[in-house]
Amino acid sequence: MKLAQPELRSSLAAEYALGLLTGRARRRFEKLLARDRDLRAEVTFWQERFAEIPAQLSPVTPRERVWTALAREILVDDNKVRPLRPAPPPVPAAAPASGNLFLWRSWALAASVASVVLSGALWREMHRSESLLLALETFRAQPMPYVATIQFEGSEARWAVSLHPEKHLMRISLAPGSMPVDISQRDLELWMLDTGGKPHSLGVLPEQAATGAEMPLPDMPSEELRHMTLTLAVSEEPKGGSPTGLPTGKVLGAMPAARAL
Amino acid sequence: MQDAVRLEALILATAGGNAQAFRELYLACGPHLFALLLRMLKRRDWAEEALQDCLLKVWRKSESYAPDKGSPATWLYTIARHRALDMLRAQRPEDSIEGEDEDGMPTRVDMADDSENPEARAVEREGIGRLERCMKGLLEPERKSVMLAYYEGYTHPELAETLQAPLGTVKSWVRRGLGKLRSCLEAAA
Repeated sequence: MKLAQPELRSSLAAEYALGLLTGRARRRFEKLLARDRDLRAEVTFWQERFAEIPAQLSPVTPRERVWTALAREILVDDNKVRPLRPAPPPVPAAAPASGNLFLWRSWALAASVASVVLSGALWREMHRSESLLLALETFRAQPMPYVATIQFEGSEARWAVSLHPEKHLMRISLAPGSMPVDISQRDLELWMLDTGGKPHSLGVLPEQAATGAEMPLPDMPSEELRHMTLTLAVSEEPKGGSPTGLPTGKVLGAMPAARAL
Repeated sequence: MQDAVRLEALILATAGGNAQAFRELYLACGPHLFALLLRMLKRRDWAEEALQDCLLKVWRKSESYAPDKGSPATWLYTIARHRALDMLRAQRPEDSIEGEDEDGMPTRVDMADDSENPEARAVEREGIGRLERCMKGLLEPERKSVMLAYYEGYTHPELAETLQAPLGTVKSWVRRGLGKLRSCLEAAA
């Protein structure tokens, strides 16, 4: 198939997006697609445009039975632990000296920023509709995880983190993009700040695109788990994570993790 | 559907195994996907089954969503539409899936029920915005062909049968219609 003409390329991409290419024509086009990035972009262009067609239909609320069936399915999905890269065990460290003052100040700042975000999250939780809570309550077989999305200003990479303290497990997915630090030199370590502001290492954030990577979750202070929200923070550390068990590098940010209701 | 940033955050959190985010994603996109599925499948029970299937796919495959490859709404609509097309095609004769042989000869397609008049349904409501404005520049048979292909998943021979025109004519309607759309969309961009 000769695909030099832009008009023909575009038409075929549109026909492919519509599902009009069938049989051998479709298979030939897919072979071309596999090695032609511009052609893939053209297909994406048309898919985006064609998605405007259903976007104008009036929404119709499905019956509750759809969610009921879905909720049942997702609760039986597997939940296996695959240990990845836990941070090294903490080495007893000297109490923070005055030289660490900047560091501790930045933690305090991070914590206060997080608490502001947190109050917004709590407000939303409190105003969630009751029917939604009931729907979930019906199918809740175990405590729900704490969840957070982590992204830093000026970089694209985004981590979706869910912490399951009762299962001693956390799941982390990374949507790739530019990183906030040079990952060939530094690691990003995830911490939980307890109510006293003390950081507890949870492990090193994965830097390779991954989905639902499961890592062991270290024990967290049980009194913290009574709260509906935790405060997480991320610092940059030497490769392999902080050697001391306490943050040694710059704090990149803090964010709330709310117990999913 | 909702704004792309929120949908994307919900899909990413869903990929992280967050059931609450999945519930919110369901509330945000379910009614929109359901409208499309109802429109395509015409039966509530089938549309519900399709919605359940495609959301389960979203839950299990949400990691396959790549923000750089298109908007979250498009990703969700594409999953739903493909599910509906699979169901529609499963109901049609086997040979209509391939649609035509290598020489472009149409295979016979039996219309299950002429009174259903899918053509009338397909043109009743189209998208607005850029696409709709550009659609207005198409001749009626060109526009109908595109809408029938989108909502009914018709192949060229099925379009020829429905629109009662020779296959070659239908193919050029489609080709010309898409060409006009492309020029118009480019001009509007």
